[in-house]
Amino acid sequence: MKDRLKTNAFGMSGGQQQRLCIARALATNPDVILMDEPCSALDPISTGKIEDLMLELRENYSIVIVTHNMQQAARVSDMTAFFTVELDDDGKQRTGRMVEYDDTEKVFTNPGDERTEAYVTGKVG
Amino acid sequence: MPDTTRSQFQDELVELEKQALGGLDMVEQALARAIETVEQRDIELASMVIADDDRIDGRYLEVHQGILSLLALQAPVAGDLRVIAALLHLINHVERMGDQCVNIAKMVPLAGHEPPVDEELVGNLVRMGDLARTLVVQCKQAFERRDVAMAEDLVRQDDEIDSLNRASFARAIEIGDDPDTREWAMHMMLVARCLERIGDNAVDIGEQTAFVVTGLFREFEDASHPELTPGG
Repeated sequence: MKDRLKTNAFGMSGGQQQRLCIARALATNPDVILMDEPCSALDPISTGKIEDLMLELRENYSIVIVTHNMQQAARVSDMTAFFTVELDDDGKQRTGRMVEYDDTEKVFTNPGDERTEAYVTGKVG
Repeated sequence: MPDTTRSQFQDELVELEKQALGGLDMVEQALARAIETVEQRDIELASMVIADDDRIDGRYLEVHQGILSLLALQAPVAGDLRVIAALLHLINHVERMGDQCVNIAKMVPLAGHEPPVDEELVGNLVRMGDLARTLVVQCKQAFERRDVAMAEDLVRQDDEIDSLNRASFARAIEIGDDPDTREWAMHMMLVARCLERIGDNAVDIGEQTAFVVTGLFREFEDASHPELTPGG
């Protein structure tokens, strides 16, 4: 990186850009890092590198990941929260709800709420 | 849009379960014939039971391959994962029960052409066999319906098989020390042992039913810690 300080970051690959973003976040010395879909546009190899990095960073930081990739949630997280949206009776007001929060292993083998079960097994339309 | 997504996967899973449970129908049929073999001393029927076990083994391989495919291609989780894990156990028990039917059938020609038959002992074995068949049918229904109470009830009937097994043992000792009779009785005790094992396999399938429903595995009866089992 030190040789590329003056060049545009968009010249790097997606995976490199993502790791640069994580490095920038770490520079602020945070307690918690929020990663919103950290691998959504990455190929499997770059995804693997980011996930390895997460597993390394978890030693020193709390990481909250927002992901729609359930396999990824199962692979990298210790705890999983499942959120959904509820509509009010006339269907106008949308309210976010946390349906379930538990150990990742529990959520993916024996979830407590049937809405979680339907979501993780893909039984919702 | 369909009401559920991943409908192809769901169809495949339903189909796989049907295939695996169909294996229990095959076992029930093999067991009925194996019992008849013992009751009638029918050596020809015994050879049919032995030959037909290839069908059960074939079913085992099909279901096993289907399970591997679904695991590799569909990454099942939660309830679906529990069903697939249970089917892997179930089909293994199906294969074992098929082998026990073969073992029973093999005892009949070994016992000789006109063995010194004791009707009381044969009667015991036939009752054990009928109970074992009932267990096979019931463990299939309990799994199909996800009925934990029905699955737990398997233990009660399995206890009857166990007590008939002990009665048969006592009878085998009682019927005398003539060498031919003793040899025949020993073969019949091996038959009793096979039937007793089939009962245990059916109870194990019941335990898998409870696992699918509750997500927790527990033994209905713990042979190594009978004091921990209710009523054990």
